[in-house]
Amino acid sequence: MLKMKKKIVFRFNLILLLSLVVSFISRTSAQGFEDYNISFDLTSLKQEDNSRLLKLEFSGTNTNDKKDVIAVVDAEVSFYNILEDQEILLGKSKTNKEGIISFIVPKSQKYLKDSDGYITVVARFEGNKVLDPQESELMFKDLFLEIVLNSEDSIRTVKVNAYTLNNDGAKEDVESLDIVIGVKGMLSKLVLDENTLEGGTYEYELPEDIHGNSMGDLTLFVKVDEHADYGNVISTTLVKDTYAINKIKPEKNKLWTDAAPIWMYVVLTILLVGVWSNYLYSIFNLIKISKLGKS
Amino acid sequence: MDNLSRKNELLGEFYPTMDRFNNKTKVWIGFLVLIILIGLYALYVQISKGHEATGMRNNVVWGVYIVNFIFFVTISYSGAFISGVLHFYETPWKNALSRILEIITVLSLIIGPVFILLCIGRLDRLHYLFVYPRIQSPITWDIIAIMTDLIGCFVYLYITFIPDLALLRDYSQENDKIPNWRKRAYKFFAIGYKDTKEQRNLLDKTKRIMSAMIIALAIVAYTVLAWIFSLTLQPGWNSTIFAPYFIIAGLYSGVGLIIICMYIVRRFYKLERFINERHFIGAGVVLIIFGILFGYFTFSQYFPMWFSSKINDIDLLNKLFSLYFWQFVGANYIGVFVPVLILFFKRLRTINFITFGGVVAVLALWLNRYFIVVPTLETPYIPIQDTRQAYLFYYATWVEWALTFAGFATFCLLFTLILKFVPAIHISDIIDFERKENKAVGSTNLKENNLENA
Repeated sequence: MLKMKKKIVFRFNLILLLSLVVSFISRTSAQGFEDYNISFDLTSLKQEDNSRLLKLEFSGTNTNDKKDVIAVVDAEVSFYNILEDQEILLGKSKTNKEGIISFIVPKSQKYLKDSDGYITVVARFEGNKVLDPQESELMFKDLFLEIVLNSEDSIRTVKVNAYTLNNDGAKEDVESLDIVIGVKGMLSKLVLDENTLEGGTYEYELPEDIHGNSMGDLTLFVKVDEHADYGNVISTTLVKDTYAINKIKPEKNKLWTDAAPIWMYVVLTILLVGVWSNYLYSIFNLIKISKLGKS
Repeated sequence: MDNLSRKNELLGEFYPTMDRFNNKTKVWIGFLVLIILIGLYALYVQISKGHEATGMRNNVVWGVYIVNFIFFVTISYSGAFISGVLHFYETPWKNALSRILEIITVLSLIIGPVFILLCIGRLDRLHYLFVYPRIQSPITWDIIAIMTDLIGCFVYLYITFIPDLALLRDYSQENDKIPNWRKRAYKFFAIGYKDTKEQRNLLDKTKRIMSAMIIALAIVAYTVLAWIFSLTLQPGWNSTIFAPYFIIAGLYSGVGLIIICMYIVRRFYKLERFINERHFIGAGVVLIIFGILFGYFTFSQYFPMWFSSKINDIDLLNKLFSLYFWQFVGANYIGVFVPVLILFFKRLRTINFITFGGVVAVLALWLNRYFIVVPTLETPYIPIQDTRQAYLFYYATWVEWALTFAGFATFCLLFTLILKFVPAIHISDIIDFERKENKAVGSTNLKENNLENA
């Protein structure tokens, strides 16, 4: 009887312990994102080659410490083009180590559009044990930006044309649009002008001091940022500017040339010769000490 | 007591501490080896995965590795500087400190530059620095300065070792218990030094020249290291006082580390008779001077930044006084006030308190370097477009911490092993000092006798 009782108590304790462990594990795994505000942001950028970059950022920010941002890694997200009941799957992808998906929709993609020409794209995460399902939606019109550079009597003018295509495929000029014109640098973009395009076209006189790189390449860009109808759009064009090739004279012995200023060589040589001659003198003395020891 | 018996007495006292590998030493070495092995695994992870395994990204391209590099290299320069000064002016209490200083100098200069290699993404292109050097680049100056200084420190360290190595050679020849490899090593490294008058004069002359060289080199190398930062236009770095600020900060942390090492060596090797309270108070006074100077330079660095109100400088200060508030206060306020206050009150000038002040100074200066490097990189002039949010801040990963601790463990391990080969105190200098004192006493007695006779 006593043995039986002991057995029951042992089993009860074992079950209790196991259930505690299981509940602890499930709590800790489920607690992963409890203190975090989840952000599931979809943005779109129409790129230079008319393809469209859908960028999804999936992360959680600690409510107590805003510096503590964790990425949701390896989460599968599906991208759809939707119109009322119809859904076209654009593709699926998983978030990387930074919780980001950069999904490129090729320019050949045919989108479903509503009667006003709006395209709706949805990013959808189905959810898992830790995270609830997430969805983010974007609506935009397909905008086309063209850049043409005209040169006349050393005055260079950038002409920007902006249009959309209606359901019949005909061009329709954009009535009014805030645009940014600039040139691309090695690290960043240099903004030259921010203005409003009217009646589908805008002209801007390129400043005289804007030139191409040492190869003569000058990349002009025009972009639209976070427009209510068109989203983010950027268009670039590469033009040849021979000014840089013709005007820049090679310099010698400067901080930025291959050979340094002469005084640098002189100072460095004096310093090194001074130091090393002392080292050699010390080593010579050590040899002398060694010889004295032998004699 | 004649010279020979005094030598034997001192060696008889010191040699057993070098030869003995007791359980404590074995556990200590085992612990250090374990940390180094973890560091090696972290290194393998970093090499196989690349810099992705670290917290360094496009904006914040430097992290704890460069902090460790600056920390170790400046400690080395300060060790060289102080050792050079002690030798050059033949300070009496150099006998107790200089061996510790010299070992700190060389070991820090070996370990420090390893950290800069860990910062390099493409180590396979490292040789380009030597094949295509740009004399205009402060990085090239730093490479030249570090290599020149390292060779100089080795020569200097070796010169200071020679008389003790000769004593150990003679002692080991007469002692059968000493292993043969030690006998051979002492004989080889002693280069036939027999402490004759001619040899002694020659060695003293060389030592003086090298100590003067080491002082000059330390100042040049410190300055060049500071220029890596101050010659850029980054907020917080582009400062005219950066070079002297680095020198003072390095000397401050260097003195702190010397005090810690003195404490450990004194306790571990039972050298209470040779390293006494007088030495600690002396080192403490130097610590208080450098502490006050460091506080003054820190104030002079940040006050004009705040007063001139340049946008990027204010951004940096806002970051330091918000995001990093406690750490910044710890590095630049507590790190100055605690050691200074300890040494200000006579009652607190004990070995334990002074060592505590040294620990605070060392920790504060490591943090100080962190706040020189990381927040500035987190506050760039040009907001690079399309940068990911996660790239704007820096967090050291376990790989970086493991390699950091491995660096410190290597320092401790090599320090322990070197003290198993040479004594922690300059025996020959003690004998020299006593010889000179006896001579001085002798000549004074002679003068007094002559006067009495007259």
